Amino acid sequence: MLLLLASFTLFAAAGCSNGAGNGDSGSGNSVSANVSQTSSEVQQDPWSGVTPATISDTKSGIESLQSAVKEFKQAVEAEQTEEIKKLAAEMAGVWVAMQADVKSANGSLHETIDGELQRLMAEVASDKRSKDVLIELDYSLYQHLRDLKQHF
Amino acid sequence: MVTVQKRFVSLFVCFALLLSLVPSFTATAAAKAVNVTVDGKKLTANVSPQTVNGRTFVPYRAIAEAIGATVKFDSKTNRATITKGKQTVELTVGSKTAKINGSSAKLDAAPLNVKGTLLVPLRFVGESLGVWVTWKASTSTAALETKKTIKHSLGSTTLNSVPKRAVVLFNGAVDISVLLEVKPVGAVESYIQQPFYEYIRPKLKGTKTLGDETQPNLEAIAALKPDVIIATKVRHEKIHAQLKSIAPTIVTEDLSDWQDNLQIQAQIFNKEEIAAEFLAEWKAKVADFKRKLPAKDKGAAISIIRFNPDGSARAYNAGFAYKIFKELGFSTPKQQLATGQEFITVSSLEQVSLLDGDYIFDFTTDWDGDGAVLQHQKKWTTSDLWKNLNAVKKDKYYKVNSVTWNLSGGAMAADLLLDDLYFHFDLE
Repeated sequence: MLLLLASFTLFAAAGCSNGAGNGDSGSGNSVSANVSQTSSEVQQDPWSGVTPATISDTKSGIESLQSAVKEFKQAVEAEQTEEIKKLAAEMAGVWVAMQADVKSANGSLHETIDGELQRLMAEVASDKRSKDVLIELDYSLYQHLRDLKQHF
Repeated sequence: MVTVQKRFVSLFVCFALLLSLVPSFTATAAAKAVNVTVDGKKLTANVSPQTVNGRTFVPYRAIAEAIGATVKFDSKTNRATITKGKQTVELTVGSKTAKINGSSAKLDAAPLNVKGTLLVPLRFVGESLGVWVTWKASTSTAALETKKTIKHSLGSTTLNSVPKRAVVLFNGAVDISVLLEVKPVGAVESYIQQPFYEYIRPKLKGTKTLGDETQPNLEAIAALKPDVIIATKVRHEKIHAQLKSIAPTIVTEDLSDWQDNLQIQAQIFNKEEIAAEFLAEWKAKVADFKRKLPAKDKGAAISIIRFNPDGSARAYNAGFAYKIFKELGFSTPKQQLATGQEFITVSSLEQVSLLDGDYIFDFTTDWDGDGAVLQHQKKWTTSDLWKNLNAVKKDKYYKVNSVTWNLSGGAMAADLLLDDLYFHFDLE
C-alpha cells in the first residue's frame, strides 16, 4: 500500500497546480524535488511529496476537507477520473497542512483519518480502483471529519 | 457673599444632578415581577418573587416551606440552610458560592437581601433539592413540582424527587441520557463496541453495565439501588413487575420512537429545556433537508435493509431509520408495502427484488465478529440478480453506519443519521 501511496504522490505532484491551495509558485518544484526520495524515506512519512495546502486554521481545513469529501463522492459516482484525482490531491494537501494540530487534539481520530486517507489515496492510484471501496472510504471519512470538527 | 452663596447652590445642584444619574444598585432596580407556583399553588410571601437579570429569586423561607423543606438562618454568617430529605443546600447573602451536601457549587448570581428578606435563586435551590422547575414564559411563571407522575405504556409512576440514580435499559435511552447530561448509574451495554457505543462512551465513564437490552441483569440493577428505571415495552414488559419492585419504573411505548422517548426522559430528569431546544433544531434541520432535496428525489422509495447471519436478509417497514425517512417525506417501495409486514424476511436470493427501491441503505452488522454475515452479504451483492436491481444499476446502494442507523435508536443517533443523508443525497 505504501508503494501505491508513493505512486499517488507522483501523480498528485503532476496533477497539482498552484490553485490546489497554497499559492506558492515554488510548490511544483518542491513536490518534484521530493519525487527522488528513496522508498525507505517514503515509508517513514507516507505524505512526503505532498505540499501542504494553505489553510487559515484547522477548523477551516476540516470544513475544506468536508466539502472535498462530498464532491469526491459525486465525482466517483459520475466516474470523473480526473476530478477524482484532483480532489484526492486536494484532500492530501489539506490533511498535511492540518494533521499536526489534529494529532495534538485527538491522537485516536488522527490515526483513524490518516489511515482512511492513505487507503483512499492508494485506491485512487490503483488501476483497479473500485467505486464501492472509494464511496465506503469516503463515507467513513465524512463521519470521522464530523467527529473531528467537534474538537475545534 | 451673594456670589459665594450662588456658587454653593450651583455646586449643590450639580452634585444632585450627578447623583440622580448614578444608577441604583438595589436588588429591585432591574427586578421584574414573576409568578411562582408550587404543586399548582401560587407562592405567597412578604416579598414577591422577582426576576433579576434573567434569574428568578424567591424568599428563601417561603420557598423552603412550600416545597416541604426545613430552613435555618445564621444571622452572623448571613447563611441560609435549606434541607429536604437527604439534600442540604447552603447559601450566603452576596456570595456566588453555595454548598450542596457540603460540596461547593457555583451560582450564576448571589442571593439578595431585599427589604431585609433573603431572596435565593429559584432554579438552583429547586434543582438542588430534587424539585422539578419549569419556566412558562407566556405567563412569567416558574412552576415547581415536588413530585411528578409520569404516564407510560404500562401505567403511571410517581417520582417523589428528580432522580439522581437512573438505570437505563435500552440503547436509545442511553443515547438520550447523554444528550440530557444525565449520567446513569447503570445502563445496558451496546450490541457492538461494548461497553457503550463509541460516539457516547466518553460521557459514560463510571456507568455500570447491566447486560444487554434483551436480557438485563436484575441483580445488578438492584445492587445499584436506583431511584428510577427506564425501560421499554417490547423488551421489558415481561419483567416489569420485577423492575417495579426494585425502583419506580417507566416503560416507554416504542423503543424506536426517539422523539417520544426524549420527551419522557426530559420530563423525568427536569431537562425539558434541553429537549425542547434539540427538537426545535431537529425540526429546522428536517425542513432544511426537505427544502434542499432536489425534485427527482422527493418522495423517493427508500429500502432499508440488512443481511442476517442465518443467510437471509431483512427489509424494514418500521423502526428507527424508517420513521426518520417517513418524516423526511420519502416513500416505501411498493413491493415491500404489498407484503403488509413491518419486518420483511427475504430468505433466498430469488426474492431479492423485495430489497429494491430508488435507494437502498444497508446497515448490516457483523454481530458475531467472524465475518460470516459479510461473506453472505458479498455473495448476494455480487450476484447477477442483485446487480439487476433498480437502485444498484443507478449506483444508489449504500452501506451505512449500523450503530447510528439501527443499533442505537437515540436522539443523537437520529441527528447523525440525518447528517449522513446530506452526504448520500449530495446536499450542502
